[in-house]
Amino acid sequence: MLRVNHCMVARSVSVLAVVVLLAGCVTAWQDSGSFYRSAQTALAVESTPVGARVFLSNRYLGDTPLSTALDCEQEMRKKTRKVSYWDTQPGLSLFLSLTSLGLYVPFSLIPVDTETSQEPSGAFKNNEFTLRVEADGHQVWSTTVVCGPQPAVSLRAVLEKL
Amino acid sequence: MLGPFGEAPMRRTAGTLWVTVLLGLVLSGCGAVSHEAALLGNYVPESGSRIEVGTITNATGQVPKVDDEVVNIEQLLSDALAQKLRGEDLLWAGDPSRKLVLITKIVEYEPGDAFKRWLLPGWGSTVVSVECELRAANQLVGTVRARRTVSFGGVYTIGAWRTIFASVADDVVSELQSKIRK
Repeated sequence: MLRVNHCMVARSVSVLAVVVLLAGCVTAWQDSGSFYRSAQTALAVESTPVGARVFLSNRYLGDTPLSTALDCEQEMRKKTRKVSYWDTQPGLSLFLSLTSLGLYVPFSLIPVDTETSQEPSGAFKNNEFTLRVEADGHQVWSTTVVCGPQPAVSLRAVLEKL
Repeated sequence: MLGPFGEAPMRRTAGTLWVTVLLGLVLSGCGAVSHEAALLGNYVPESGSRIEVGTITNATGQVPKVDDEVVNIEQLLSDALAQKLRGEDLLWAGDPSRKLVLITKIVEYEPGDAFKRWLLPGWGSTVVSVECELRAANQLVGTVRARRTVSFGGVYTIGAWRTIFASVADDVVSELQSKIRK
């Protein structure tokens, strides 16, 4: 009984060692281009006096206080690397190793499967907007709003009397 | 030698089970599936909203080829999405107030090779990954991301370069269905 347990432990340790060893079979990350994904920034505008007209890139949005969402495009960089099947499908690799009575194990060392990763490059496009706030009898207040890096922007326009 | 609980028949049954599972995997093929959807802000789609298949762009940076012929992956995905949406009664049919537009980018596509997959699992994987935007009145209201791979299998994975679009469309539509009340 004790011998059977030892055998099982030894086998489990061997399988675990093989899995750990094989999981290390990867190539270096390679750049594989980029694409743009839509990003949003929430914009809230308040003003003094209240009820001023808000224009975003010359398009009337409404009267203050208002909130809206700005859309822009965020660059995502893609990276790929070759990995062994143990990295992408460990369960299936183990299953194949067992069912092939270990024959699959040396072949599974070869990094043939592809792993992909995406991360923001920090670059944005179409992300600058001119915001203009107008009220009768007051000077026009304007600023540039940048969409993207921050999830929300709050602005308070204080309009000076003419 | 037969044990007290009939070990020989049990072993035979277990063996048959292993072979059946292995054969099933080899014949049917398998791979990884991942998909997620999110509605932005507090957006709740209007009851009875329907979806129009909008622009589909190839953002892989490659012109995919199968047997030296260029594959129109945008058209394949567009057809698959329209078919799945129609099947789920989610395809937009003309009421402008209930229209959501699904704009899709194919960000990853590998046609793969069934023979390579048969030789060595993971080699010659067929991969497709899409990023979708759901827009209402041109405002971004939601996103759906889905990725499918066929990385293991044999005979029945021939043609996965085409059928994988139906699978990924199924994933996208099931995510949309869970977000849109009928």
